[in-house]
Amino acid sequence: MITAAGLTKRFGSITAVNDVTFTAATGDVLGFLGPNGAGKSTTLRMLAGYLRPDAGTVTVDGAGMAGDPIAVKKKIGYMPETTPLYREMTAREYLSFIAEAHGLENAPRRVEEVIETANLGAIRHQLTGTISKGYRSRLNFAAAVIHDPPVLLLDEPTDGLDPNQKNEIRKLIKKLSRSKAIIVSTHILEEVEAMCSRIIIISEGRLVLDGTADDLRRSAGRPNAAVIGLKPQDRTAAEGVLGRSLADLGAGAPGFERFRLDTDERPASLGARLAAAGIACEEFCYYDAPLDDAFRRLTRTKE
Amino acid sequence: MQSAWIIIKKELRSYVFSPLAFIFLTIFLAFQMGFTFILGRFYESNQASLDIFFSFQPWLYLFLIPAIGMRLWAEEKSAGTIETLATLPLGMPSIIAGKFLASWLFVLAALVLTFPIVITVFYLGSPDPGPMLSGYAMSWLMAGAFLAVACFTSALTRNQVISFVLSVIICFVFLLVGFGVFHDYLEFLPVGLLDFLSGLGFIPHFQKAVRGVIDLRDVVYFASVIVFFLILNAAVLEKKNES
Repeated sequence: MITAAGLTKRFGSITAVNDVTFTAATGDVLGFLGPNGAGKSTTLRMLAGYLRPDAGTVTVDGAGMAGDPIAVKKKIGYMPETTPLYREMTAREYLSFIAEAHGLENAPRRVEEVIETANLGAIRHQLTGTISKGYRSRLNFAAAVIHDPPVLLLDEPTDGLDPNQKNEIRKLIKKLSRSKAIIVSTHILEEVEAMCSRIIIISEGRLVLDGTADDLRRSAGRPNAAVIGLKPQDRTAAEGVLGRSLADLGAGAPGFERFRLDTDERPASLGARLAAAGIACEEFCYYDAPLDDAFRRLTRTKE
Repeated sequence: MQSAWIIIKKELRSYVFSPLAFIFLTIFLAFQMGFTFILGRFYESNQASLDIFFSFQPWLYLFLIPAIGMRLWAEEKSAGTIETLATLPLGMPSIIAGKFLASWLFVLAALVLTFPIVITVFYLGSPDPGPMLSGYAMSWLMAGAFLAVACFTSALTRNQVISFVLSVIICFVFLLVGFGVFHDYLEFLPVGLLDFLSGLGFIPHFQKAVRGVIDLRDVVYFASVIVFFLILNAAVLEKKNES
């Protein structure tokens, strides 16, 4: 479990991160969202012990980063956004160096294991200065998990990867999440829905949301929507049953009209109520309110 | 100590596999021998000693040691690997010590490779091995002082050229203040301050050892310079981390 309490970081007169507090527990995959420049990387850098916060604390399993940085860093796996590597080392040498720095007793075996996990076999003996962006990311990912840390901090781990590689990394993250607290920064909203159990959003250095994807949707104040196809004569009855007015969307299948219903009621219960009233639906589509709408509203800067 | 050793191994490996290291060794040995035999007229001097060999060394170090040290931190910064390094459970003091020691060992290797001159001197005459040993030992220590300056300037910037230039300037000042000619320009200063300044120069501390005297004060002097600049090095990294 990793906790950030009141984290603040200033660069000159700019406050990059302002009083940010949250916790990620084992089993959590925390999606860390925010526009570019909102302070995501700065926050992760403080969590990883690279930057020292001007105020606030980072604790992992109760031990403070400020008090015993070496012990805390042993429990953290960190993948920087810039995917830095030592160009003059081969992939294998790089992983060996990281394993050794973590003081792993079974270093050679762990190196082989993460080469396998991150699918790096093909470039094992290649100099890291010559590998592609996708391999750079995966090599950094492998380095972050080599010591099997209870906390994993990943700064845009799928950036620059092709769709297949993205999918692979997401699957890996899901698999690892059972035994770890994972914080993943990204600005890809679909990615968050696909792999995160919780979302935190920061904007201009401040935490503006800590909750689930549904909480994020609700925060937009925009309901989900259902599109239903009804016989025109059933419209009034349906409006009565549902207690809401329907908006006309025009003709649907022959003999039916399409209507739009704004609601937060889940589709199963909507369908059941209509069926109970004997109203036949020719068509039924349900749309979650788009996340990016809510994201935009929350992170809109005051310009 | 374990952590420092991990860094030493990593740094030494980067020397072994880098063409730069071999270029450096070649240039160092070529200049060292060129200075001694051509500029220093070693054969004409008719002395079976390394005085001439050592007398050029501070000036050779002035340019070559900053070249070794310039990459130590600047490269980590420009490649971003400093972020990896700083988040590994190693501790900054170990990393700083490891980087310094690795380069210092590399300089030792370069010094050891000048052994043909020793053989030459023994072949030509019967020299006193004492001053040779003390000269080599103090030369290595002095190289450490140059190197500590280079570590410090390398931590200041992500640009290796800037790091190089800054450390040449600082080292040049350390050479000048111990150099007699320089004092004529500083006569306006009080005598006490002038003495203090000349005591800060590298060359006088080195020359005693070349004559065969290892003075503990000289050892302490170079060791202090090393420690001082490594502490500055740490302070710069710490400061950059905070702002």
